[in-house]
Amino acid sequence: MTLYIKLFAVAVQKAGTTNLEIDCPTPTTVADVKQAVVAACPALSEIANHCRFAVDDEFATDTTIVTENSSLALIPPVSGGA
Amino acid sequence: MIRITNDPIDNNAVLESVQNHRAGAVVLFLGTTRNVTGTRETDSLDYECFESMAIKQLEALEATARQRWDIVEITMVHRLGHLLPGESSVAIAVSSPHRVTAFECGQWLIDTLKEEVPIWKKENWSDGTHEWVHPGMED
Repeated sequence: MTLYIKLFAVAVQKAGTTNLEIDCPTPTTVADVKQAVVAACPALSEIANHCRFAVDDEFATDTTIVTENSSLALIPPVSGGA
Repeated sequence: MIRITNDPIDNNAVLESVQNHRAGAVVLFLGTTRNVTGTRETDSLDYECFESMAIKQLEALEATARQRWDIVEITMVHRLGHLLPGESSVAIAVSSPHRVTAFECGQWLIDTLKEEVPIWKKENWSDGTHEWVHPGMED
């Protein structure tokens, strides 16, 4: 299946896109998606371990199941507030 | 009231939104942009956000706060876009029957917002360079 990962802040700077397309077997988990993201975009490898994933607008864990209907985002450490 | 906006934050409107006859205390926190970080000078800041998730996270913070403390009203407003030093990027107002509750809850809301709500700031330094701020992530 094809998945699209929303990117923000430094991840956009490194990847050069706000929406990264990756290919994954279906269904899969966040841990596998993370590997596929780094494989598709090596520029993200140095930040990927510091980022969390969001699935359907909620923080996910490595074992969260991802399907082709999931909305995915890579969340670098946040810095709102002041 | 929870709001993410590109417009300047209206402090009085934030205060009015939490005022209520049940409340004996109102606490207002404003996060304002600093022009010095360490030895570096900031010209301006840009904020961006993952809006659908940020709204959900803010709603979850309010729900948790209401379970933990006796709260009358909560308002959280975060501004996005281009800000100059001295402007408010965030406003949090809490009203409650007693002041201790309002202070504790306000402190918890801003501390947790800074860890859990997907909003990011970019420092535009006075030397002309730009840098996204990601606490704990060294380049």
